[in-house]
Amino acid sequence: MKKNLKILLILLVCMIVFTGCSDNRGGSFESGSAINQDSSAESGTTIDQDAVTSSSAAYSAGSNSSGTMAQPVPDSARNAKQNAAADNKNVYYCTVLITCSTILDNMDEFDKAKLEVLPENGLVYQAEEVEFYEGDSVFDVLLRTTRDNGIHMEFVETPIYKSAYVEGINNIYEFDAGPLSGWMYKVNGRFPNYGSSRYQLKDGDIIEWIYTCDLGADIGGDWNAQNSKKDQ
Amino acid sequence: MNRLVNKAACIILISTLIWSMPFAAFAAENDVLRTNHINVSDTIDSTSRYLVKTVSNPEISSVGGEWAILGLARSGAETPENYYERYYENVVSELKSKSGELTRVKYSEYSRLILALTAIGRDVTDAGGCNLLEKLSDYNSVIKQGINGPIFALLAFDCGNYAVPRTAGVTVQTTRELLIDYILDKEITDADGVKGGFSLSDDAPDADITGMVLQALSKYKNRPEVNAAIDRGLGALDRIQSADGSFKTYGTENSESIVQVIVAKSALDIDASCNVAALMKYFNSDGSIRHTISGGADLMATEQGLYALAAYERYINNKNSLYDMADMQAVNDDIKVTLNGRYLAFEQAPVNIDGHILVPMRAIFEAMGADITWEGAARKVTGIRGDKTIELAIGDKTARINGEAVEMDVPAQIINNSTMVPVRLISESLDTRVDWLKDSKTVVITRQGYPPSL
Repeated sequence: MKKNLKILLILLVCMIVFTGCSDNRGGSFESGSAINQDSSAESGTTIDQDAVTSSSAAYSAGSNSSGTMAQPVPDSARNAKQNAAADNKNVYYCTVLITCSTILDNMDEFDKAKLEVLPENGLVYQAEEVEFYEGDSVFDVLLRTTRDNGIHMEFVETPIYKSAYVEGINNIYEFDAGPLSGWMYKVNGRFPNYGSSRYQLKDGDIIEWIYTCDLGADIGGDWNAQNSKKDQ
Repeated sequence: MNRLVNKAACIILISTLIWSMPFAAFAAENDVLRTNHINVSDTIDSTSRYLVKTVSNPEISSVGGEWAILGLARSGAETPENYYERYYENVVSELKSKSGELTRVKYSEYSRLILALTAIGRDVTDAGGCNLLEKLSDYNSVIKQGINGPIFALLAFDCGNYAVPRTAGVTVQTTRELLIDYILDKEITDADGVKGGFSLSDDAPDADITGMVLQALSKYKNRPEVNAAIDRGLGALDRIQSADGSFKTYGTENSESIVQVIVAKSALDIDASCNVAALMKYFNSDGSIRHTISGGADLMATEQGLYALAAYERYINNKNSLYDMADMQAVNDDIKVTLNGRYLAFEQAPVNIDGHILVPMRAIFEAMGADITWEGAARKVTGIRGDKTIELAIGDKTARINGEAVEMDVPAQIINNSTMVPVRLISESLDTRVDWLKDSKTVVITRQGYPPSL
C-alpha cells in the first residue's frame, strides 16, 4: 500500500513538473542570456541553438528549433574564394542590398555625431550580381563586398564558434539609433535569425542587410510576429 | 531487546531532530528537488566537467569566456591546472592588443569581464595595464545599449565593492545612483495598467530582463523605492511563470529565462526550487544543457545553467550570492568578517591594534539593520537597533549602551574615514556571538543561538 502511494506520488509530481509545452516554434529567443552575455558576438551563432538575445535577434543572431551541438564554422567555408579559384569551382551570383533607411524615421534617436555617415535615403550599397563561391556564407559575401567597395564594416567573432556578429556597417553601429537598433539580415525575404557566418548561400539568393531601430519590429523581423519554423 | 532498540531509535531520532532544527528551513526548501531526485551538487559536477572540456581555452567572449569562468569559479568546481591562469593570460593579451578598447558601443563587455576577473581574484584596475572600472565611469557610454548597460555596470561595481572611479573628460560621471535611477525609470506598466517588471522594449515584462534587474537591485533592497520595485518585479515574474516553474520569452520556453529567475531569487534569499526543478528538464546526461526542451546541447545555455546552480547552491548553504564576491576579496591577507556565514565587504578592512581587532562600525551595523547617525562636531556616533541605542565618541574608551557605560579595550577611532570599534562592542550591543578564527584571520559574527558556520 505504502509503495503504491509512493509511486502515485512520484507520478503526480512528474506530471506537474513536466507539464508545460515544449513547443518549438523556431525563432526562439532569450533576451536575457544573450544580453548578459553581451551576446552580440555569440548570440545564437549556432544554427542549432535558439540562443538569441533580443538584441542579437535583431542583429543576425542565431536561433532555431532543433539540432545537435553547434559546431564551429568550418574553415573550408571561410576560404571559399581561394578554394574555388584553386579547384576551379563554379562562380555563383547573388544580390546584395545594405540599407539603414529606418534611421530616417527615427532621427530624434539617432546619434547626431553620425549624421555625416548617414547615406542619402539610407542606402549604403546595392548590387545585382555579386560573385560568390561554393561554400560562401552570407557573412563572407558581406565581408568581401564591403572590402572590395571600401565600405566600413566592423564585426566581432566568437572564437569558439568562429561566428561573426556584425556591429557596424558604414560606421553606423548598433545602438546608434537607440537601444533597440542594429543590423539584421534577410535572405530571400526571410530573416534566418542565426549568425550570418552559418548561412550557406545558393545561386540566386537575395541578401539584404537592414538596420532596425526597433528590435526588428520596424522591418518585419519582429520576434513576436515571426512564426518561422526553422527548416533544417 | 526490542525495548532497547526502540529506546535507542528514539534517542537517535530526537537528537537528529534537535541537531537538524536550525537546518530544517533549508531542508524544507529542498523537498521539491528531493521529490524530483535532483541532486544539485552532482549536477554541478557533471555540468562543470562538460564545460571545462568544451571551453578548453576560455578567452574574452560572450560564449566560451566569462560566463563559463563565472559558473566554474562561483560553484567551486574542479578545473584543470592553470585553467584560470590561462584565461587570464588570454584576457591580458587581448586587452593589450586592443589597447583596452573592447567595444565601441556595448560597455557591458567591460562589466562582464570585471565580473569574471573578480570571481577569480584578479585586479580589475590593472588588467594588462587597463583599469576596467574606468571604462564604466562614462555614464553615457554605459547606457547607450539600453538597460543591460546599467544592470551589468551595477553588478560589476558591486561584485567587488568597487568605488566608481572619477574620470576626467567624461561628459556624465557614472554613479550608482544614476544607474539605479535609470533602471527604476524603465519599470513597465503593462496593458492592464499593472506596474512591475522590465524588458528591452516597453511592452511587457520578460523573465530575462526582469530577473537581471532584480539581481542588480538586490543589494539595494533596503531602500524603500527599490524594495517596492523588487516586489513588483517578483509579482510580474509570478504572473508570467508557467505552472512548472519555466518561462517563455518571445513565445519560446527556454532555459536561460529560468536561469535569470533562479539567480534573482537566490540573490534575494527567496527559494527557487520550483524553477531549479524546471531547469533540470533541459539537462543532458553528459552535463550539457539545452536551450529549448527539444533542442540540442547549447553552450550558452550550459554556461548559464551552471551559474544558476551555483547561485542556488549558495542560497541553500547561506553563502555569498553569485554576484556578491566579497568572499573572493577575502583571498588576500586582510582580516575578514562574516555575518551569519556571509562575508562582508568593506571600504576599510578591519585592523588589528595591539592584538585588539577593530571593525568598521557602519558596515556591520548596517548589515544588521541598525541605523547610524554621526554628529560631526562632537565626533559622536549613535547606532540604534531595535530597543538598543549605542553611543560612542571617537577617542573615548567608554561607550554607552542604553545609557549604561561599557568600557572598550581600545577607543573607537577613525581609520581612512571609517569609524572603527572593537569587536567586543559588536557582540555586546547587537546580541551576537563573536568568534575569532586566528588561522584564517576571520571574525565570525553570528546571531545568538545560531550555530556558527565556517
